[in-house]
Amino acid sequence: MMNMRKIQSRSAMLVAAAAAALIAVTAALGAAVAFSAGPPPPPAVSAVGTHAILTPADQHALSRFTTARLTGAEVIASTDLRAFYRIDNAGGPPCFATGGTGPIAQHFDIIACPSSFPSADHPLLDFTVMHNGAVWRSEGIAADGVAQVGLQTPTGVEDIVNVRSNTYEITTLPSGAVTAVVALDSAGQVIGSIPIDAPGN
Amino acid sequence: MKRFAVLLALTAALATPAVAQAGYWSWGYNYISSTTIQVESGWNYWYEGYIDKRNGALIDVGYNPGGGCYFSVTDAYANYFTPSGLGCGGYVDEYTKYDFGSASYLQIQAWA
Repeated sequence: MMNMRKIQSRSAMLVAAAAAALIAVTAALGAAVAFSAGPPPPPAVSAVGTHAILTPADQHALSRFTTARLTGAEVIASTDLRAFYRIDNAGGPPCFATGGTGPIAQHFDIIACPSSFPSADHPLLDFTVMHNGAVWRSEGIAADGVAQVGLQTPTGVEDIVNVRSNTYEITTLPSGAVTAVVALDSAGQVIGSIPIDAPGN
Repeated sequence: MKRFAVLLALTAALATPAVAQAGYWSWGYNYISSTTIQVESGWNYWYEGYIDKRNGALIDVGYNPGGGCYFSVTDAYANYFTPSGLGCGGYVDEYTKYDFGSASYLQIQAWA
């Protein structure tokens, strides 16, 4: 009689354990399905470029990078005077540059190898240059999903331009204080902000 | 006499900077922060600069502090730049300056 009760008790425990295991497996499968359908892919710079012909001075500039191995470049957008470059990095994610275009000795004005662009927190790689506290040139690279870029001034976001081939160039520049470059999505919502100078600097 | 000539030539070679690189300045790796606000190269015909910023918040990088021409760098970046590319060529003073936020660990270099 005692043995019969023990067997029944063990059977009940086995059934309970099997049920618990089944619930756990179901939950895990559910989580896996939710994960695979869940977070969006990280932002990218998907604009297709064309091979850039580099001068010896350009090659020399690339060789200055000691933490990256920069091997070549492609133009992802250009205007009459400015060009935007994606730089091939054999040692990691691509770098980017802005500079001149056409038959000039050196094309790159600034080359940047950022650790956090493109990302949800950093949708812009900004190359804005200041002269005497005022914006002198404002341009840069925008991640996929950024539709417009503008300048944050004390009175709001001004001089908004459309992003073209993952690049932006703000040609109408404010004479007053600018504290950030702002990224907007297609609905006009602010999705990122890059500080470019301290107020009162 | 021959030994003296060789010694003289060697001394002259060591004392004369290479023609291809008339000047070089480097600072770091070290921190700039609210206590070490700014470092600068001094004036020269610097023609290119490089900064390797490993962390920290906002800094300014450029030429001729107290006005001049500069760009801002957040987070961790490596940047190559030229005075002419920033619209500020000629006889210049390269610098980097702490702006706000956490301290930045970096190295900055200039070539003339």
